[in-house]
Amino acid sequence: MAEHKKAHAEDEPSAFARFVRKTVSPLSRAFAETPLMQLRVRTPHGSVTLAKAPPIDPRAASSASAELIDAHKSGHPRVPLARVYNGEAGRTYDTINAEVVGIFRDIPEPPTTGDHLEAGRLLGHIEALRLRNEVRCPIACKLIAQVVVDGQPVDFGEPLFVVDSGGTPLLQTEAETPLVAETVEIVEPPRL
Amino acid sequence: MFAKVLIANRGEIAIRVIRACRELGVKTVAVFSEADRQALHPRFADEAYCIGPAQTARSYLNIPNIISAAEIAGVDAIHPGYGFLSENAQFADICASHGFKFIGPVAASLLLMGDKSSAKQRMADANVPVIPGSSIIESEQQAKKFAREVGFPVLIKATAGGGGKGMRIVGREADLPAGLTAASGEALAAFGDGRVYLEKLLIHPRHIEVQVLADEYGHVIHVGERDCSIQKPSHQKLLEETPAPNLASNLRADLLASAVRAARAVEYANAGTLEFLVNEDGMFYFMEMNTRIQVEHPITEVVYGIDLVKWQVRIAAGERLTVRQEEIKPSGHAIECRINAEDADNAFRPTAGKLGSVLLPGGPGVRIDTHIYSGAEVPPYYDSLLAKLIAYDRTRGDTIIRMRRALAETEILGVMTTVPVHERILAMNSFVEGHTYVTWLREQVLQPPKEAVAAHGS
Repeated sequence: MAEHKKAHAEDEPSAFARFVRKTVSPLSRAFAETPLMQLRVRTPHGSVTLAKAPPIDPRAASSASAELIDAHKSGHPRVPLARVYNGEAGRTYDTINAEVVGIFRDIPEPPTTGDHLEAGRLLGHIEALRLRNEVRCPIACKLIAQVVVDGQPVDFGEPLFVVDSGGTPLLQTEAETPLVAETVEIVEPPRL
Repeated sequence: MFAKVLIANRGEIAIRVIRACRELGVKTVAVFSEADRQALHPRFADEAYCIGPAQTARSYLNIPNIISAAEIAGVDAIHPGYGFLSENAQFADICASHGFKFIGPVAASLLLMGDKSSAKQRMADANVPVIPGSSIIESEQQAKKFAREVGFPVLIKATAGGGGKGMRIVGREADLPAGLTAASGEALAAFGDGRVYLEKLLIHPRHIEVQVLADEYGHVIHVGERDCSIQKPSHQKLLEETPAPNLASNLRADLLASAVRAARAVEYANAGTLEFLVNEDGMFYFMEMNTRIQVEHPITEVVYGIDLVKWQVRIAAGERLTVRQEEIKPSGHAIECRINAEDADNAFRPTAGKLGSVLLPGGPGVRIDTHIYSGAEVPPYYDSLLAKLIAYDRTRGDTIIRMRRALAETEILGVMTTVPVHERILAMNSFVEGHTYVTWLREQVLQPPKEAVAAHGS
């Protein structure tokens, strides 16, 4: 069950209402489809944490250590997909982020949760200026969730896919690049 | 009027444009880099899009991402602010081809004024004085003839020039042959091209610029002048004021009329600024035209009671400029101090980091245009301007006193700022008397001759 706040003021375009409409709603729809129990996404407007109620499963409840529970076997109706992630505090997944600003488009056969993705696999497109920019998997990994829907506008750096790369960091720009002064190119400042 | 405008900029000018749009009832779209996630401009705008990483080439200069954000947001127009893409003719063209109105002059004006030699030629054709320069010097006789015409001192410059190589100041005719030989030899060694030309050298000129506004139907007005003579050694402006002090009324009238004539001559539309150098002898010369809103526009706004940024938007939306020249009357005096994150004692080296406490001045006659707040990050990637502090009052003397008071109230912790150097400037007798020129700051404040430091005036 996705827990998120509802927008109360649809006609008043407050920052919060926009945030919910633009970010939380599509995200929560995608989140509901995934086996993830909790998802935290940072966006330009703030961060959002989506969480599902834990499955009422004695095995999960008694499980002290981090482990993956096969949802098919547990048969819990609220968790339709292959596996349930059961905790492991502090564990983070990688994300494949938008490299351009545009509209996200699914490919005819989009990857599904749990797929093992080989490096270079086409995952979707971002349409910008009538060009289709391919979104490809940068490294062999497993798809945990697609967090954008077809037709959704995306910013630069916005997470598109959550993947498990087995601890190998993805070779792509992290959304939160630390500000390292050494990398700044010294150029003659413009006269304004 | 537009329904929605994208602001392709950051910092205080993005906020300035957002404020103007909001007052006009126009929705705003901000774009920001990853280094500006916590900045105010995305927060103040109705919508915001991240367009790239911190580096300007990949974000604020990233034309595809900016245009894509504009398409997604469905804006009618794009305001470029200053710097970044504001004078980029290609960007203006791309905006037009995607159906977005570029809030500024047409691309042709940007191209014309972006090329200094073509700009000078057009100005000369419109009877606007330009700094006299000779053709390439073929003989000593030709050089002497030119120098006699314009008067000594003259500057010998290499056509292939740059970095001061092949430049010589010649103060009297007797030194001209030796100067030509030396400059030409130096230029040949440095650039493999020994051709040189002469230019009249201005001694201690002032930088005085004229604000113009023009609509798309040929109505052009000036909105007074600004004295921007207080400049860093890099020629970047640090303090500006209007009206210019000690400017003879006939000279002012000439300057203003020339600026309007110049803008008409190039069929300019939108806000623009014509920069002039004013020599000690009362002659003035066109330097360049800035085809955008200027950093220092607020001093004009407070003295003339006109909102330049709103007019930029209105003019771009096809409205007629309803202000007549006769209505443009200055009231009082205004000074702007640029508060930069810079170490004035260390060649104005930019400083960056997380700000501590930020306390900004207020009270009567004080305007602050800024994007900073306590705890804000000052990224090292961008212009070091933190805030524009504008003081205004009935007279120049009162304005100076007010600015000193406002500077004393200003507290910005965490980075070095230009507040102390502004306090030094405002304490100088020669500033108070209005006797400044473009190298004054370097010569009189940063490396003051022994007796020149005046007692604190207040």
